[in-house]
Amino acid sequence: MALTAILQLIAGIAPQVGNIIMLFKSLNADGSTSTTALISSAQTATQADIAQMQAYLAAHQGTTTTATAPAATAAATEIQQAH
Amino acid sequence: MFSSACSNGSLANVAKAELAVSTACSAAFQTVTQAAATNPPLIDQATANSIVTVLLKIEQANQQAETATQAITTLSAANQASLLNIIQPIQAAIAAAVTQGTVGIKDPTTQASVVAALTAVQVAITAVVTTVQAVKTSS
Repeated sequence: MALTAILQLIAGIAPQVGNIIMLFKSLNADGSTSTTALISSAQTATQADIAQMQAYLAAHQGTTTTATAPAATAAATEIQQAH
Repeated sequence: MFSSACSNGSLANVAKAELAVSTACSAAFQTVTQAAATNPPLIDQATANSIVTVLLKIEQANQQAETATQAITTLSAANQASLLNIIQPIQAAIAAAVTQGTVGIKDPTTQASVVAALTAVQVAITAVVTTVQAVKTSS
């Protein structure tokens, strides 16, 4: 495996590993997850979602694709094939 | 740091519910954006954008609720009211998104999966409200 591919693999799993480590570190002695850790996990997840959604909207604002109904799609395909 | 905060066990349930909102929003976001990315698209871009905008508003409110939850050690009546003031308005927004936002989705399978994803968000938000309301306040 090329070094670049390995580095990409590590970069891909790093955030998940970080979350798991954070979760383990925050486990209470009885094995239950502390409220602090739960809130921290929720904040991390929410922040990631917000960034993803904002990026999506920034990339797609003003874009005007039109969904095609399945029946219309099938009909269009048939017409194309007939020609 | 907030290691001394949130010692009240009941707040753990609030935090779990807030995490569930985030998870449900993320799933709904994936469902909508994947449907909009097909060729031909199963959801038109304007519909996808409007649903993602609602999901973003929910997540922003959820973020406020998480910050408020983080800052408190016990769920007093005042804290309870503050959390509900943040969360309750988005209940109406998600209800509107489920009923009105999905009308334009022509493909019935896609519409069903988007409705299911948004309903999961609705359930998660309702769980936050119910959890906060159910907690016996300290004052």
